[in-house]
Amino acid sequence: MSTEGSGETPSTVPSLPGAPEQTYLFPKVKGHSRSISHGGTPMLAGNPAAQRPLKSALRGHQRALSHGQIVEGPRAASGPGHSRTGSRTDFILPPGHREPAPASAQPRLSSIRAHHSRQASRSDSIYTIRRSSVIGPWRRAVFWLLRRQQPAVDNRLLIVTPNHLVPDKTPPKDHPNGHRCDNKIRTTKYTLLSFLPKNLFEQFHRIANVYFIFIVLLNWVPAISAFGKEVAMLPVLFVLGVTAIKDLFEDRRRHLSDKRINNSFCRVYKKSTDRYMRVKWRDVRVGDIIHLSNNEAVPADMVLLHTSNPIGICYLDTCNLDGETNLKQRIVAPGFKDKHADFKPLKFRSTVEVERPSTKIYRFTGTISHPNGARVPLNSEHLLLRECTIKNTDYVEGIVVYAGHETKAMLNNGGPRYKCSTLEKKMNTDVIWCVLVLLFLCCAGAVGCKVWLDQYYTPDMPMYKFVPFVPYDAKPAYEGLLIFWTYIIALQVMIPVSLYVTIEMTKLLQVYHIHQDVEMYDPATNTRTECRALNITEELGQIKYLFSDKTGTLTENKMVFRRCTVGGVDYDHPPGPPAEPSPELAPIVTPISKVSPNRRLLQHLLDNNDAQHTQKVREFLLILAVCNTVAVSQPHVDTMQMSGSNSGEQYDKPSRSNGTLRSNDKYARLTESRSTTPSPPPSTTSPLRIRLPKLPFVSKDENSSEPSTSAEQQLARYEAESPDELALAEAALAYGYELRSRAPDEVELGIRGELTRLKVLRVQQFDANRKCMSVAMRMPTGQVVLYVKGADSTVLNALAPMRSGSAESAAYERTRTLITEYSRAGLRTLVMAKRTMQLALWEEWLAGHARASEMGEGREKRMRASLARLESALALVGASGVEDRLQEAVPRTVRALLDAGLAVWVLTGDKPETAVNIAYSAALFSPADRLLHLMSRDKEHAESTIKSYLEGGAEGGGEGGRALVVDGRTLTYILDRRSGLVTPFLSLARRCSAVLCCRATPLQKAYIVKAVKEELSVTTLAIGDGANDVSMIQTADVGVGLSGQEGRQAVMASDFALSRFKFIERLLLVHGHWCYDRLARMILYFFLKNATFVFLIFWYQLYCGFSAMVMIDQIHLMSYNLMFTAFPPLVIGAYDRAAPASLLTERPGLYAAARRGLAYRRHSYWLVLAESVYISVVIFFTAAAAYWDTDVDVWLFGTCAMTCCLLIMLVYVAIETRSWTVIHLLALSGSLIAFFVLTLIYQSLCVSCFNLPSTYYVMHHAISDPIYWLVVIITTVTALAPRLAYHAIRNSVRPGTLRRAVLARRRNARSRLPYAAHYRTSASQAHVYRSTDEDGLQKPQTEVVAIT
Amino acid sequence: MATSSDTSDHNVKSKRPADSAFKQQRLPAWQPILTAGTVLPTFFVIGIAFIPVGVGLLYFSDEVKEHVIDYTYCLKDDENITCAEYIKQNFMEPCTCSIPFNLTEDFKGDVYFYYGLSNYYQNHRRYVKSRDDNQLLGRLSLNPSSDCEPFAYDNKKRPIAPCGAIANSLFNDTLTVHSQEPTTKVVPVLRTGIAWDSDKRIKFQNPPGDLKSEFANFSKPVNWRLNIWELDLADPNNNGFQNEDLIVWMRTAALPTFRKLYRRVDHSKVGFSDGLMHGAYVLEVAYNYSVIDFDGRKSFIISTTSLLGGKNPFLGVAYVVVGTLCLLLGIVLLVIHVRCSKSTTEMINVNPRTPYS
Repeated sequence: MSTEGSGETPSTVPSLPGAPEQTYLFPKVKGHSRSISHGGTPMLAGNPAAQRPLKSALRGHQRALSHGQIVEGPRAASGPGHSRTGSRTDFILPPGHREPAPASAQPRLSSIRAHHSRQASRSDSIYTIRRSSVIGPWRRAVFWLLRRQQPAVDNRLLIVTPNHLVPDKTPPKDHPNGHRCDNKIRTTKYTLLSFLPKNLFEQFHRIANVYFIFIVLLNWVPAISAFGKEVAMLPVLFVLGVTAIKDLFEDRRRHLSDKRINNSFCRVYKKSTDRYMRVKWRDVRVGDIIHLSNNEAVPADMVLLHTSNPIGICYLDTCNLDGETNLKQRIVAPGFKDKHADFKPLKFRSTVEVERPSTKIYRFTGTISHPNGARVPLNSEHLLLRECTIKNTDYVEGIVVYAGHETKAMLNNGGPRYKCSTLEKKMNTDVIWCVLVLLFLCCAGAVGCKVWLDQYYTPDMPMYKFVPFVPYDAKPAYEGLLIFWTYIIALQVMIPVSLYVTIEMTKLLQVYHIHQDVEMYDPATNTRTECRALNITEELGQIKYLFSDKTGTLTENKMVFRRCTVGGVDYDHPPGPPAEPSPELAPIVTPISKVSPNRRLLQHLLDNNDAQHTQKVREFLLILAVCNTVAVSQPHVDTMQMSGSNSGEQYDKPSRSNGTLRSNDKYARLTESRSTTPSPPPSTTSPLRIRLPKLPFVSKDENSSEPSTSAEQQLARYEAESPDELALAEAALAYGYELRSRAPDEVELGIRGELTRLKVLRVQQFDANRKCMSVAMRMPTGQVVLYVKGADSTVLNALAPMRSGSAESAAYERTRTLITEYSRAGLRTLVMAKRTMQLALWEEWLAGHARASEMGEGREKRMRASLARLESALALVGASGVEDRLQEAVPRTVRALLDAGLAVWVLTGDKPETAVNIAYSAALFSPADRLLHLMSRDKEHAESTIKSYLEGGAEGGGEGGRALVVDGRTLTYILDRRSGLVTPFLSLARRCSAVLCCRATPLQKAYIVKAVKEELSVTTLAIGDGANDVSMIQTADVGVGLSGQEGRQAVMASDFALSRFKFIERLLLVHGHWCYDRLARMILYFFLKNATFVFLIFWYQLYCGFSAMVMIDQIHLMSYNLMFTAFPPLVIGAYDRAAPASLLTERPGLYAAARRGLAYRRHSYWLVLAESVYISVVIFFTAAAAYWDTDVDVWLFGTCAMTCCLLIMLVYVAIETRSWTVIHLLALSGSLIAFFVLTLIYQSLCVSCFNLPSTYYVMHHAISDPIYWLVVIITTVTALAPRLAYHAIRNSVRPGTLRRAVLARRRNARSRLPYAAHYRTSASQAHVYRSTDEDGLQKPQTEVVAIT
Repeated sequence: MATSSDTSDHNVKSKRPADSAFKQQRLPAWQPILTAGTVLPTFFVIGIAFIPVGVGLLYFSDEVKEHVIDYTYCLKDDENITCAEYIKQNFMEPCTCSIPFNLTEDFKGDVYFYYGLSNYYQNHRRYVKSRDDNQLLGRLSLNPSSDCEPFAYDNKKRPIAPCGAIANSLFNDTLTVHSQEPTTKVVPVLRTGIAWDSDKRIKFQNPPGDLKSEFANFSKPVNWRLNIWELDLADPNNNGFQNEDLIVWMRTAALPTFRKLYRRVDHSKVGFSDGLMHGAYVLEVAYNYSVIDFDGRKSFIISTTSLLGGKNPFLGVAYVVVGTLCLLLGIVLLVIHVRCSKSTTEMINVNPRTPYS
C-alpha cells in the first residue's frame, strides 16, 4: 500500500499488535534462484550468501568466473586481451564477462531485458578497451583515503544498520554506519584552502614547469645568477597563473554542479517523526530509508525494499550512468515482495551486509540479515544505483547501502581522457631537440668562457687587479662550469614553455569556433557540435581512415515498418503520410502511428473469406505485439508530497491503469521524462474510448498529439530497447493490436478494441548467438504457444519439416524469396514463427531446462541446446522488413570523404545483403566498383581468398575501384593474432576504395580500428552513435559520437559529438584542415621566434667574453614571449585561414593534400632553426657593425636588437598570413605599439626597479637616434626578403595544391564573372563534390588508398 | 537527459549559434597571394629606396672628419720607456707623454674629443653587474649592494663609493690637446654636456650637503687617484657622482671596441669658433690607465659629427648592397613572372566534369 510509508498511525495497518516493534519474519534459508536472469553466474548473488564461512572462498570463485572461465569458446583466446589487474578501478564488467572473443560466442544473459535485432546490443558497450589510466592520481588518492577511512569489518563486508535502529543522538564514532562516507559529493579537485598548494603541486608535475622552477632556483645561486631574481620568476608566475585560472574556472563549474546535486531533495525516513522528511541529498546517510517517486533520481545506491508495484518490481533508467536508454527492471529484495502490502520502514529491523564499494556497475552482492538469523542474499537486481531515474513506478522505498563517493556512479566517474595528437608528439620531439640545442649552446658558451679566460689567467696573481672587467678570481675551468648554468638561465627562452600555454589557448579558441559553427548546428535536435576533447583539434586534419557505424550513423535509426509477408503474401507499406483509415474498416482502433495500414492486410485481417490466412495474419500481428520486450510507460501518480506527507491516500493503486481522471500536471510530469526512443504519440488507448465509434475529427485531434487536450486520455508510450521492436509494435498498433501493459507473467493487449490478457509462461530473451527470442504463452485453450521472432538464418532452419508441394512449403519458398528481396531493398528482416505444444510437453521441457541450467561443467552449452530444443519444429508465420532510412546528405558526405582521400570503412552488425545495399545507397560503393567478398567459414579459406584477391589485384585495376565486404566470422579469423592474416588483410583493404564489415561485434570493431591504427600507423577516426560503438570510438585516434537515437553513451565516450553524420564533412574538411594547418604553422613560428631570440643572445657572447651577458633589457626578455609576441601565434593558430571554407568543401581533394602533413614535417624544425640562425645573424651582425667603435651602451644596443627581432617576427607573421582580418591587424600592430609604448613608459618611470640594471631612458635615446632606425629597417628587409622571395617564386613556379586551388578560384571569379551566376545555379551541387583536375587535386580513389 | 530534445516543447531555448562574422570565422578578409607578380613591386620599391639612402649615408659618413691617435704605447716624456711599462713598474706614479700630430683638414662645426678603447670588455656580465645604482642615486649606505663585490669594501672594511668594478676602473687618463699654430695654446674644452641628460638629471645624484663630509665614511675606489669630490674641482655641478666623466664611463659599452665622449671643444673661445683648423697639434697624455695587461688599446679621437653621428660607412654600404640585391631579386621575379604566369594560368584551369550522380 502506498500509504504505508507515510506518517500515518500504525493502526491503519492490519497487522500484529505493537506494529512499530514488529519485524519481518523470514525463513531461515532462502533458496533463491533466478537462473535465467542471472545468466552465466547465478552464483554471484545466489544461495552461497547463506553460508557465511564460504563467502571468501566463493569470492575467489566469482572472480575466476568473471574473469572468463565459463566456457572456453572456440576463439576465446584470439583477441588480445586487455590487462586485467582486477583492481577496483579498471574495468566495468558485467557478471559473466569473459575474455573478449571477437566471435562473441557467449550469450549475454546478464541483462534482464532481451537484446534484439541489433546484433550488437547496447550493453555490449561495457566491452570497451579501457585504459586504467583513466583514473587520475587524485582519484586514486581518494580511493586510498576511502580505504583508510573504513576500518575493515571482516575485510570484506560492510554492515549497514538501518539508521532508525540507532538512537538519535549517537555520536558518529559510535554509530554503526558512522564510519561510512556521507552522500555529499565533491568532484572538484580543490577546495578554497587547498587550491593554491594543490594546483601548484599538480602543475609541477608537468615537466616544463619543473624546468622553469629549476631555472628560477638557479637564479638564486649568487655565482650563477644572470638575471634579477624576482623578475626571473615572472614567466613562471605567468604560466602558472594562467593555468591556475583556467583550472579554477573548470573547478568552479564542477563546484556549482556539485552544489546543485548536493542540494537536491529527497525523502528520508525519520524515526523521530515516524515519517518521511524532506532532506537534502548531501544529508542522506548510509542506513537511511528513502522514498522515491516516479521520475526521481536515486540519490545513493540503495537496496530496493518496497515498490508500489504489487509484484515488487520497479523500472530504472540508467541513462545517466551508462547511457543505455532502455528501462531496467529491479526487484525488491527477496522476501519483501510478500510484505508488499504492509511495508513500513520502522518494521525493517534487519541489517544489510554489502561488499566493499567497487566500480562494477553490474555487480553487487550482499545479504540482509534478519534479527532472527535468517539471511537473504542480494544481488545487483536489488540495487538501485545513484543517478539513475525511477521510471514507470509510482514509488519505491529502499535502504541506502552506499552513499556519496562510494556509490558506483561516483566511482565510475572517471576524469577526462588525455589524447596526444601526432602533431603534438612531433612537437614534443622537437622540444627535446630544443633542449639539446640549448645544451649545445650552453656547452659552447662554457667552453668559450674557459678559453677566453685562459688568456688572462696567470696562476700566481689575482687577475682582476689588472683586468678590470673580470672582477672575480676563480679558475677558468671552474668559471666555465658556473657559466654553463648561467647560460641555461640566459638562454632559457629556447625551451618554449609558454608554447604549451599558447597551444592550450589556441585550441580553446579553435574549439570555440567549431562549437559555434552555425553550419554544424542541427535545428531539428537543437544541438551544436560539441567538442569534448579540447586537445586534438588538429588531429581532425590528419585522418586517413574513417570507421563508421552504419545504423544510426549513416542511417537515421528511425525504424519504419515497411513490408511484411504473412504466409507468403507480400504486404507493402510504402512511405508517406499516415493515411486515414477508411471508415468502412471500422470497428478498429484509429492508429496513430507512422505506419499506414495496408488495405489488403486489413482486409485479410477482417474478412473471413480465407479463415486460415486470416488466422495467420492475426497471429502475425499478435507476435508483433507480444513477442518483444517493449515496455509501456504509464503516467505517474505521486502519492506523496515532497515534504513526505501523504496526499493521495484515497488513491487506489490498481485503479490507476483504468484511466481515471488525471490532472494536467501529471502529464506535464510525464513530458519531463526522457524518451529518446520515440514512442507513438498518445493514441486512444483507454478501453473506454476504444469501444467508442471513431469519428474522423477525433482522429485528427489525436493526430495533433496534444497530450493535455483530453484529460481523459491516458498516455501509453512504448519504450523499447531497440528501434526495430518499436517499429514492429507500432505496426501491430496500426492494425489494432495494442500492447497495453506488460508484467512478467502477463501481457495486457487491446486487440481491435477488446481487452485481452494473455498469460506469459516464459520469455527467452534475445541473444546474439541464437539470434532470436521467443515468448511462451498459455492460451485460453490450455495449449502452450511459443512465438518466435528472429533472424532468418536461425528461424528458417528451425522450422518443422514440410511436405514438399504443400501449401506451407510454397509459402515458405515465397517467404524466403521475399526475405531476400527485402534485404536487397536494404530492409532489416525478421522472421516470425510459432510452435504450439501441449502443456505436458512444455512442462517437460521446463523441467529439462531447469536441469540444464544447473551449475556445472558445460552449463552454457546445455542451456543452449535446451533452448534450441524448444525453439524447433516451428511453423512459419511471416516475416517483416523494417527500413532504416539513410540520414540526410549521407551519399554526398561519403562521396566527399572518399574524394578527400579518406579510406572509409563501414562496420556494422547487419547482415551482408542489407549492409551492401546501404553501402550502395550511401555512395560508399559505386556501381563501377568490383565487390570482393571475404566470407569464409574457416581460416584456411579466408587466407586463400585474401591471397587470391591480392594476386588478382595486380592484374585487376581498370575502371572502377574495388570494394571489400567482410563478414564477422571471417573477421574473427583475420583478427586472430595467431593467424597472421592481419597484414595481408590490411594490404588488401588498402587497395580497396571502401571496406564494409558486416556482422561485426563491438569488440571486433574496436580491434579493426586498433589493427589499422597500429599496423598502418595512420590516424583513424571512428564515428558511431550507439553504445556498441563506444569501444571503437575510444580506440580510434579521434572518436566522434552522434547524439542520435541510442542515447548518449557514444557521445560520452567521444571526443567530438555531432548531431548528424553530414557534419563530419565540414568538421574534417574545413575545421580539421584549418586546425591542423594553423596549429602546425603556429608551433613552427613559436620555435622560430624563440630560437631567433636565443641565437641573437648567443652571438653576443662572441663579443662579451662568453660571460653570458644578455644585452637585452630583462623586462623585454621576460615579456618577449609573454606579451609582445604572445598574440601573433594565437592569431596564426586560431584565425588564419589557409583557404576559405567554401573552397575546402568544394574540393575535398585539398584535404588529402593537407593531410600529408606538409605543414609540419620532420625536417621543418631544422629549416626553422636554420632560418632563425639566418635572421639572428642578420640582426646581430648588422647592429654590431653599425655600432662598432661607437659610444653605444649595452642597453641601447640590446634595445635595437630587440626591436629588430620583434619587428621581424611580426612582419614574418604578416608574410605568412593567408587571410588578413581585423584581428590580424590588431594583433600585429597592437604588439608593436605595445612594445614601444610600454617600454617608453617603463623606462621613464623606472630609475632603479626590481633590482635590475637600470635602463632608464634608453628607448627615448634609441628612437631619437637615426642609426637605430636605419638598423631596424635594413635588418627587417634583409632578414625577410629571402622568405618573401621564396614564397613568391614557389607560388609562381610550383605552387602547392592548396595555393593552386585558391589561385584557380580567384582567377575563375575574375574571368568568369558574368558566367559565374550561371555556373552556380545550374551546375549547383552536381559537380561540386566531384571537382577534378589534372594535377592531383583529386586522385582516383585507388591511388589515394595506395598512397596511404 | 541532455538529449531530451522534445521538439514539441517550444520553450526549449534554441542553441543555434549566433551567425556573427566573428564566430563563424567569416570576418572580411584580404587574402593576398604572394606570387612573383604581386611581390616584385615590393622588391623594386625597396631597391629603389635603399640605394639612394645608402648613397646618402655614405656621403654623410664621408663628411665626418675624424682623427685617431693610438697612444697605448706612447713614450714617457724625456725617457725611453713607454708609459705603459712605467706605470706598471711604478704603481701610481704619474707619467706623461706628448704626441704631436697634424690635422690635414679643417674640422668644421662641432668638434668632439673621444677616447677609444679596444679589446676592453666593458660588456662582461660580471663587470656590467658590478655597480650599485642605488648608491649612484645618492642614497649612500654603509652596506653597498653585494653586486659590487669584490669592490664593495676596501681592505679596512670601509664601504667604497662609488663601489663596483665599473667605477673602480674609471678611465683616468687626462688628455689635453695643444694647438701649435699660430701659438701654442690649449684647445679649450667643455667637461659637461657629454653624458645623457637623463643620466645627469635623474640617474646620478649626489648626496645632499657637502660632498667631502658626506663621503667621509667612504673609501674611494682602489684604483682611483682622486677622491670622489675632487673629480672636477672647477665645477661643483660636475663633481661627485654627477661628474660626467664618471657618468659616461658608468654607461657600459656594448661591444669590446668602443669610444666614449671625452670633451667637447669650446667653440665660444676665440680661434675655435669654426671648429678645429688644420695644422700642428700636440696631444698631452697624463698616462694613468693601464690596458696592456689584457692587450687593450687606447686611442684619442678627434671627430666632427654629422646628422647620423660619427663616421661609419658600414650602414651606407649595407643599404647600397641590400638595395642592389633587392633590385636583382626583383628582376629575377620579373623573369619568373613573365615566364610562369602563362603556364600557371593553364595549370590551374579547373575542369569541372563528370557530375556526381
